[in-house]
This record gives sequence, C-alpha cells and structure tokens, in this order.
Amino acid sequence: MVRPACLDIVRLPLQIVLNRNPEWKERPVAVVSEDAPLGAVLFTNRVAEQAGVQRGLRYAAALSICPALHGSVVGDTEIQNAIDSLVSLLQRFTPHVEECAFDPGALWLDAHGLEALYGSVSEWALTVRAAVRGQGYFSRICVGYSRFGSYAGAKRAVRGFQSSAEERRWVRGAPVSLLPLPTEVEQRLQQLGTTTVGEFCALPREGIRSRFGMQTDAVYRLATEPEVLPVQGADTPSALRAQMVLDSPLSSTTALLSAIEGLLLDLLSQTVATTQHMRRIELELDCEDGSCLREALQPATPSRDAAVWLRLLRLRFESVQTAAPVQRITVHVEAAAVNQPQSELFSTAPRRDRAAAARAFALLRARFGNNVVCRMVLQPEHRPDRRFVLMPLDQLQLPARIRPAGLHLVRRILDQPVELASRRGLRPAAGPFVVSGKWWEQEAERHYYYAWRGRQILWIYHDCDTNRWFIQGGVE
Amino acid sequence: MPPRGVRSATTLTSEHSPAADRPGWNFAELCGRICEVHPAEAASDTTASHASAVLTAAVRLIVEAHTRGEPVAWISAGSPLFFPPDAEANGVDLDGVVVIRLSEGRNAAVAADQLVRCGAFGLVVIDFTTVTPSIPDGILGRLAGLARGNSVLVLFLCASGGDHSALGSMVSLRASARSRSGVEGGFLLEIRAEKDKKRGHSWDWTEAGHGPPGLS
Repeated sequence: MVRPACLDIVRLPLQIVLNRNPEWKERPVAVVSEDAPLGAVLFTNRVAEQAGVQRGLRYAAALSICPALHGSVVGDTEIQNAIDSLVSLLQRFTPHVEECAFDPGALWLDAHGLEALYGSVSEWALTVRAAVRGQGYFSRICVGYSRFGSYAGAKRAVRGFQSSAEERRWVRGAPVSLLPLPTEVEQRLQQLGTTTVGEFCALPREGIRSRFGMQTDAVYRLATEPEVLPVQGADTPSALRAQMVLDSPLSSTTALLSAIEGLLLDLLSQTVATTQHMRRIELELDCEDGSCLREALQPATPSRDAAVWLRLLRLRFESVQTAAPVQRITVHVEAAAVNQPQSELFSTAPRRDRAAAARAFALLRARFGNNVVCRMVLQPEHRPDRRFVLMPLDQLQLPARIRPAGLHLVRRILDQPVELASRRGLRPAAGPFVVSGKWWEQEAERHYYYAWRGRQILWIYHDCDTNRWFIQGGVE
Repeated sequence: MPPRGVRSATTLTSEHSPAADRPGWNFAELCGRICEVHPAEAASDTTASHASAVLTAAVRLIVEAHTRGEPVAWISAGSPLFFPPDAEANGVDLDGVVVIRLSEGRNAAVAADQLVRCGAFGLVVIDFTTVTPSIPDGILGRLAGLARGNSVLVLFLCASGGDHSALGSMVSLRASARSRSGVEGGFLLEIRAEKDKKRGHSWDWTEAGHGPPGLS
C-alpha cells in the first residue's frame, strides 16, 4: 500500500531568517522579495501580524505600519541549501524523499513498510518531526494515502487519515486557502465563490493555466490527476571528471571522437564501480588559439550503456567544428543512482510510449542542438508576439482528452515582423484592433488589421510610434 | 433494447453503410498514411474571397488526434509557427504538441524519421510551406512503412506546387485547402483531395467555421 507522508516546514524562508538572527524571535519580522521600498512582504511572524503587517504589502507600507519591523531577503540558494540539508537528514528515516515543485517548504516521504521498525507510522512521524526540530525547524507532518491528501493534511496540522476514502472526503471540504496559490489567484477564486478544495478541483481544466498561471496549474494537476508514480527518492548526484592533454593537437573529427570515447569509457567504468548511472556529460575542448568549445549531452534517462552515449556523441560531432586544433579535452560527468523499476509480469504498455519519445528527443537534441525540442506555453500578454513562449521539453505529455471546439481559422505568426514596404494592392478585411503593451514602459500602441493581398489574408499592424506598417503574419 | 455491451445488427450495418464510409478530412481516414496538403491553386479572379487554409486543415487534424489521446509533433523546417492561441481556440491541448524547430529544411526528414520510428506520436506534421521540400523517395518510402506500422499520420504542409506533388509519388493522399467567406458570415474550410491512393478517386470536404478574433 502506498503511504506518502508530507512534511511541511512552516514558512521555511521565515524560519531561515529567524535561525540566522535568533535575537529577532520576539520582534516583528518579515521576509521580503527585495530590500527596497517596493519589495513585497512574502512571510511574516506572529508579532508582525499582530502589528498589522500583512502578506502582499510593500515593504515601505509595512514599515509605516510597524516601524520596528525587521525585513530580510532569503535567496533561492539559501532555501535550496536548507532543503538539501533536510533531505539528507530525512534520508536516515526513509529511503525516498521528494521535493515539492511548487512549495519549497514541503517534502514528501515514503512511509510505506516502516511500521515494523517504529511500531506504527504515527511513531515514525513523531520521530521524523523531532529530528527536524533538532535542526531548528518547526514542522508539521501528515501520513496520508496520496501526495495531495498528505500535503493538504500537513498544511492543516492533520496527523493522518484512517483510509483513503476519509482522506478524499476531508480534502474535498478543506478550505482552498491552504493551497500555495498566489495572492491574486486567491482573491479571484474568492470572487468566483470557490472556497473549498473540492470546488477548486471542479473548475474546468482547460482554463486553469491561461487564467491562473503555471503555479496554480501545477497545484490543480496534483489535486485532480491520478497519481502514477510513488514518492520519488531524491538522488545525490556526484561529479566525475577526466582530462586528456594531447601531445600533438587534433583537428580531425574522427581522431577527436576516438580520444573522447576513450575518456568516456573510463568514466563509464567508474560509474559501474559506484553503481551509478551517467545523467549528463559536458565536454570542454580547449583549442590552440585559446578558444574553448563546450558541448553538453543528456540521454532520455540516466544510463551507463556505452552504446547510448557513443551514439549521442557521434550524432553531436557530425555538426561540430572546432576553430583550431584541440590541445586538451575535459569531460565532466554528472552521475546519480537510479532506481531500477521492477519487471512487470504482464505487459501493460500504453499505446503511445513516452519513454520512446524521450529517447527520440535525446537523439534529436544530440544531432541538432539542445533547444530543438520544445513546447508552446501561453502567456498572459496582450501583444500577439508575446502571447506565447517556447520552452525546452524533456518528457512528452499525453494530451488531455478534450472536447473539440468549433472550427476557427488559424493564424501564422512570423518570428520577426516584416516591414510592409507598400500598402498598394491591399484590400481591407477588418480592423483596426488597438493593442497597447506595457504602457508603463511607454511602449507604442499597435493598430492591427486584416487585409487581403491576392489570395492571402495578411495580419498587419501599424506601429504608432514609428508610423510604419509591419506584417505580423497571415491567416491560413 | 439490446443488453449493455451488445450491439444490434442494424447499428453495425448502418456503420458500414455508404454514408458512413464516405471519405473525409479526419484522423481515422488518414491514419497510417503520408499526406500532403497545399494551398488551393490560383483562381483567375484574384478578388475572390478565398485564401489558403493549410494551417487550419492541419490544426483540424491535431484536434481530432487529441480527442483520441494521440500526441502530436510539429516539425517546423524554417517556417514560422502557427499562432498557439488560435490552435487552442480550436480545442488543441498545447501540452500535447511537441514542437521541433529546425533551422534547415533538409533536417526535417531526419527528425520526422526519428519521431515516426519511435511510435510515440499519432500525428507528425512537417511544415514545408516556406521551404522547398527535398526528401528522396527512399526516405519517403521508409517513412510510409513506419507510418503504416506505427499507425501514425504523417502530414506534409507544402507551398502550392502546381499540378504535381511536391513530394513525389510516395504520397498516399494529396489535397488542397482553402478558406472562403460563407454566405451567412463566417468562413468555410474547403478541402479537395486531388489524389487518394486508398479511395482511387478525388473527393471534397467542407466545414463551416469562423475567422480568428476580429475576422468573422
């Protein structure tokens, strides 16, 4: 039976500040996004709350309410260091510790099978909590039946659930405020009358990302999608390095490949000895003229299969050209332990294999560059060229089973708008549609139009600042 | 009323009636084949309100692939991309579309070969609308075999190429797509299959819809 437990380090950044400055414990303290008047208050302690300082206020406003307020910034590195030390502590109590992607203070622990050692999961949970307290962090822990259930339970100081049905029932009625949502999203949900987690989960999936952003989407997915994977253990990667100084500099790709392969095979044998798998390699080729060429390779999954690495290496070197003969080769390897999945007695492979897609992506990246495989992510912007970004993609996501909407003609958007030399021959179709971007940066307005040019429907705009016309794309 | 799970013979025969077997621009009809779609040829009257609808035709198939839970790959061989909010308005789940951006058209065949071969995609679209496709028949033949074996629809978007296919004889279906202003507002997507090796005859398919925001 799967028993994920969630350990919630309450307001972790605030606890980091208080551990750093123990003399502030009885004083009003706030964690701010930046040490400047316009910095936002992110977390506050009880004394500051009682003085009227609230999350979301500007630092200057908070200081005007409570002049004795101590504000401090906590960087991502500091938070990550604290989490890393906690993970290594928790690995003494469970083999699998997983970080929460959207809440840095939350960690999932695998509580399965530990009753025999500790008497019961409750005893185990108390031991874990005491150990975390010993490190100077106040925490709450909940042993549940799903990641989301245990997360929600820990946020409300529930220690555990008797059954998965009880967990589901409790979660549905829990207040939505326990979720780590941005303040503005919380306000919008309040306006929509969404007060419980059950009501939040009932919102239509399609609009969550575009309306509320990536973080809310991640929380929503965790809450609504069935869990496929058990708690994933955080591995501790190790770094290996091998270097070869060449007596006579090499310029031929074949000779270079042969030298790199030798280094790589040496490193592979080292990972075999430490039962680790190679996750990523970085090559540094120092040339005679002082230039340095750097290339990074990463397979679909960590591997110590020489054939996989040599294939990626050869694909990448098909397109690599060095400026001058290479005199030194350095190979950096990131290696990590990998949990080998148990063999399945019956094959339940889905129709479309995501692992096969990941292998294909690794080959394409090796051949055409690391940014060649990507996905489109919509952005809450007005200007068409800013409405989406391309993000690198490692794992294929299966599409949600959607209900087709009505047919709409689709526009093509040029990477860079092309200036329209002349408007002769254009027949207006629709417009203008005024789009103003960041007015606070005094960005010029654009007036968008559709216009026929022969058998094409162009999507054009007039830049009011430069008084020039551009083609943004077309309707196809 | 037959018991649950049992289908009446009448239902089964009606599904195989000539009406149900009518060809159409849909995923089931084109799955496992190599298809080419290009803009409809120039009409003599250039003031006529019809335009290329190659992207819309491709997005229509993506929507169908997604309703079946099939992931989609879009290989852009130097061509600008489709505007994603429009695709989403049609019902595309953008998370289920992998975009492969290549700087040179000649690499598209290699990428397509990898993606069709891995069998993880239901639809692979290769956008050649701004570059001249140059895929040898041997590679196309191999793609056709892989597409058939892995039940993948390989769709090439090409620029208008006159009477001849831009890709040669290995293409299983060659179609033209255009949009036309509808009589009661809106637009009609008109697709004409000029060559269909499976059916052996040409056919037409029309669907009514709307323009993008602001152009209805």
